[in-house]
Amino acid sequence: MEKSTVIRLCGEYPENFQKLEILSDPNFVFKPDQNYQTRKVWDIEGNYVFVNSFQECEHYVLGGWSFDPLQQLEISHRFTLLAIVVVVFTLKTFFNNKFKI
Amino acid sequence: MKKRVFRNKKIIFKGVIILFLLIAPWFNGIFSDAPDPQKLVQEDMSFYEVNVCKISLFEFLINDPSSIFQDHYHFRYNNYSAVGCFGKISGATLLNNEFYISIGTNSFVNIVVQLTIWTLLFSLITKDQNKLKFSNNLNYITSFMTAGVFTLLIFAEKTYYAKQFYLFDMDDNASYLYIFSILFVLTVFLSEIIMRRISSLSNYLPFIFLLLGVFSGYNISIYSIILINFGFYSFLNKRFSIKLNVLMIIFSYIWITNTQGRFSFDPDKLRGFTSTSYEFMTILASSLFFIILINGLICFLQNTRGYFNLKIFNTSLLTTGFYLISLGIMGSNFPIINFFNYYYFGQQKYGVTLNNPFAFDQYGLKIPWRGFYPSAESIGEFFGLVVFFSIIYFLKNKSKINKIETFYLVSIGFGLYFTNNRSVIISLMLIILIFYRDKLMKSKILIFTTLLLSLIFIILTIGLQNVTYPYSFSSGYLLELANKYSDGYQVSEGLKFANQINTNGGVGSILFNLFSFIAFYLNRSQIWAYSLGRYNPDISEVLFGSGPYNFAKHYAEINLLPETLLLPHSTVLSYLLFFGLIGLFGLIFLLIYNVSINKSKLNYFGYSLIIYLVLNIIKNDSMLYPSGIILYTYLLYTTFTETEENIFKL
Repeated sequence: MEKSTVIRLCGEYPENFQKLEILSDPNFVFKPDQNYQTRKVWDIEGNYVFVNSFQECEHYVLGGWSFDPLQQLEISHRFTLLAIVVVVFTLKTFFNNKFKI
Repeated sequence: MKKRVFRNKKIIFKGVIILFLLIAPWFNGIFSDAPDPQKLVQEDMSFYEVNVCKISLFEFLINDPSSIFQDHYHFRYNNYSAVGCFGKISGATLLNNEFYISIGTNSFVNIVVQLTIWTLLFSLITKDQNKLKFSNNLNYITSFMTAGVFTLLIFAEKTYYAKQFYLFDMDDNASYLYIFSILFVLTVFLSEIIMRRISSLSNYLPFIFLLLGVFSGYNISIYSIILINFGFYSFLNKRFSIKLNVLMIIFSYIWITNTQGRFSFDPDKLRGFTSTSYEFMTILASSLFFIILINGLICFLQNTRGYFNLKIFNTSLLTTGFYLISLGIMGSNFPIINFFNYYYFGQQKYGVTLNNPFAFDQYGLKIPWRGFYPSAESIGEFFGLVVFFSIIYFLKNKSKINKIETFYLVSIGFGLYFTNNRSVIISLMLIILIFYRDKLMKSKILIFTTLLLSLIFIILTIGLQNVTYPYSFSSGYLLELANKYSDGYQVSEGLKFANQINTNGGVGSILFNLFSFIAFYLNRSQIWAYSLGRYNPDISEVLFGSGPYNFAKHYAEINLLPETLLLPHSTVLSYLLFFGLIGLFGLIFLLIYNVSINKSKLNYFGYSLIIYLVLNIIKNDSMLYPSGIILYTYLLYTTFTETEENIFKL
């Protein structure tokens, strides 16, 4: 997972950020950060969790909870727009001789 | 008969599509289960903060019709919004007791909607008989290359576009394929229509002051797309000047290799025809753009030769002038029209909200009213051109002016007054007086009265108090101001040089004092002092400039006090910055050379037009706008190439 995805979903890395070894500690509990605004992260199936610190957010995002439904919706809208333009273009090319603009 | 019916059907079909694109976007989401819209009240704005992108503009207007005409409402575009948010209210805020309503206008939807409407409008112009070598395959190739150039420009200016493209990964190269695809398809349509109308288009050129054609959310104008397309056309058809291209490549090489540092620039009203940053990639892309654009402009001009029709051209000027004033007045009185003007005419900047074009400031000075256009001075020049061509047209045809034309001309006369462009008024007056000199010379009383009235008018225009200043003051004022604006820590090379020649005396000092004296009476001392204070070139930039249409370094390198982004108000000074002394003198030489080889063709009105254009190029920024560059270049070219009978002979 790219660092840019973490920044996009969790915000900028805090100063002096130290990555903790979470996976090696089965009893690890994330401490909420008072200065961190709670965020929502999604997995590919549409499940979501609220994260309360940058540490927690980064952990989830790097673990695959990086699906951004807003961006996916935007991308699908964008491709619909392109599809409309291309369809009109194809039709125009197809009927070019009959309908010269 | 059958052909005419088919043509009418086509016009109706195009009209329906245009109407649909004008109305439909603002109805987006009316059938959704959004909450009922609420009226904006100063005490509570929370509704539109919570319900972002849920209420369509249409619903908002129906619910609060007063927002259509009350001047404390301001509708503002928000290009950084989702495709689904297009045409919906994306926020509202209260600022100084005025409501600012943000409308979602996604940049990708913008280019599709705006380019489609404008392309269809161009298609209403009758096709010409020009035998251009043109085929579908050629169209695809030129459009492919054109789309490539604009994608490169967007890539080079990614800092600017990152604020315009919603959730768009500017660092992912694959993203640019999307922009390229959209641009390619739309350019194919546009190019097909324009190529079949290239020559006829010239008589409708004044309309480019109305249809400004800058895409919302882009630093791109439709006219750049057209010219770049022509540029590639000229390359593929081997219709280009090798010498000129070699010269431009040399300049480009110097600009690119000389690029140092990174500076950014807010294009504001120059959007669509300037660079938003100064760095290696921008200079590289804009140099390439510039070379192809110049070839495109030449290709366009060559294809217009012999097609000038004074009647159509004059009608275009009058109609454009009238609509500029009407839309300006409507836009200043109706906030929603102001917004639609911006969107559908592709303005670089919103029209003014000052709804009294006769207004004076607290010192009793007329406030220049720019109305619809981004610059009051430039639009004043345009109105002057309308009057100039109307005079020629009516003198030439000895025809009586009809009621509509009279109405248009009177409106344009008011428009000229609103802009407060006094130099245009004086220029027109002198052109008319000199033309009628023989009749005026017949009577001594008439000569005396005319001279006296002219003198009084000129003194009043310049300002009575300004006439009383001694030469020593007016000739030193510009340098005095430039030194005053300098913050003392950073002194530009231009200012150091000016101070040095002023101290040394001699011819340099005399010339500079004369320049300052002229600036004083053109009311340019302050603005040119800012330019001098910022002009900080190295030797290469003195000779070759810093790059085409790039102000980023100029405005960001040297700090002045007070900080201002006032433009140089002189195309000559701007071109000195862009193309250096060699480029500037090259252009001056080109103009003088063309005048000298065509002098047998030029009559009084031909010379008057050239002087009028040159005067305005010296004291204004008109050539920084696509509309100004295209129309002025076309007029100069036409003046030199058209037969006298066809244009100026009475």
